[in-house]
Amino acid sequence: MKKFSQLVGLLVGLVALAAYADESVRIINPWVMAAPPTVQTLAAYMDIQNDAKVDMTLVQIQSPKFAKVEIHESTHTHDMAAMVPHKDLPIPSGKKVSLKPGGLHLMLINPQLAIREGDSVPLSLTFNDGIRLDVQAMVKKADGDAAESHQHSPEPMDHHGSHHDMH
Amino acid sequence: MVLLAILIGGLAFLGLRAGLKSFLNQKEIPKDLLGVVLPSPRDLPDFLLTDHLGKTFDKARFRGKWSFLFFGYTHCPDICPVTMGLMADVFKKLEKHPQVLKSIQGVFVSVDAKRDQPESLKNFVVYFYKDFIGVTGDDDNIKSLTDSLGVAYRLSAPETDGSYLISHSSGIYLVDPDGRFHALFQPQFHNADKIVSYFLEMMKSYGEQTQKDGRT
Ligand SMILES: [Cu+2]
Repeated sequence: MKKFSQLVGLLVGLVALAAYADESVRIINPWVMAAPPTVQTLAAYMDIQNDAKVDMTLVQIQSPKFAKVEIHESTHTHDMAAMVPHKDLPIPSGKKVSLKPGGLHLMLINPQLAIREGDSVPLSLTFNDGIRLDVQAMVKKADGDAAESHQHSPEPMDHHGSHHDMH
Repeated sequence: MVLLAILIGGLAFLGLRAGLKSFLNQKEIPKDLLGVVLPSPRDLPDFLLTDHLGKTFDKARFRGKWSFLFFGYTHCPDICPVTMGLMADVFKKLEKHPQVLKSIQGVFVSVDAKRDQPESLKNFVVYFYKDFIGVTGDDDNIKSLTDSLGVAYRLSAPETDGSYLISHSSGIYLVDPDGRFHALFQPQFHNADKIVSYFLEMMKSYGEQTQKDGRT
């Protein structure tokens, strides 16, 4: 049954992708990081590709499964992790903006029902020119390397670390 | 006869060299562990917190085990689950060493006393690893633990609906079986294989040190 719903989710996702492949802006590989079913917040990740001649801005996100969705960015400064809300997210012409663990994410707040691994989360992304993209984000565990993505902080905390980076 | 003398001389030399080497190493932190291990372990003050099963979690709970501590809050959907997942990977990798696994514990300390009750912590920590411990308590007691480890956290101004975000230190803190702050894995060391190999090395030099001090 879980397999089946995963498959449906995948198909819906593919159809959604196909439908918008010719549009100016598209969403690639949307997913939600699996978390304990009792949590009140989750994070969604994806790549947003803008093939249009003009810059675009993501201005609003909604999901019927959550009370609200915000654009956030996790930051690391001096060993302090923080989440900074953004009121919108610019996607420059010809560029791809990646939302990934330890960085930009869509913060999904107050789920109506518990969200579990294998579920799919419908997301509606509205851009400044009125384009609305509907996608299904699959709930899955982070890849092993997701855990490491936040170690590449923009400003290293000390230089002791440098000679260890030889894996 | 000459051969025997050379042999004895050689053995004596080797023995002396080994002794000298261990003498020189006594206070030396292995090079790989610089920037992770504290120059000298630091004692912790008393504190009184509650774990996810409602049991007392105080300084005594650190005794006899290596404790991996991470400070966060359950309303944190990005950095916190990523780091908890990383800590779970470390524990899963150490399952290959049952003796080591028996002597470690993973502890998630909530810096969100208001929203994180023992019950919600239970669901949170066990999801990542079955033996993880969730800890919460009042601000004063959380503060005495965080201050002594140099952990910082700050609540944002609440939004109109009362929700707020918390910025917090994101390292993994290591407390040794004597209940002393021993090492800190800053985010740039957050790689499960790296942490496992550093930790095993740390355990080894701690063991040697303990033997030297004549403790058991
Ligand atoms: Cu967020």
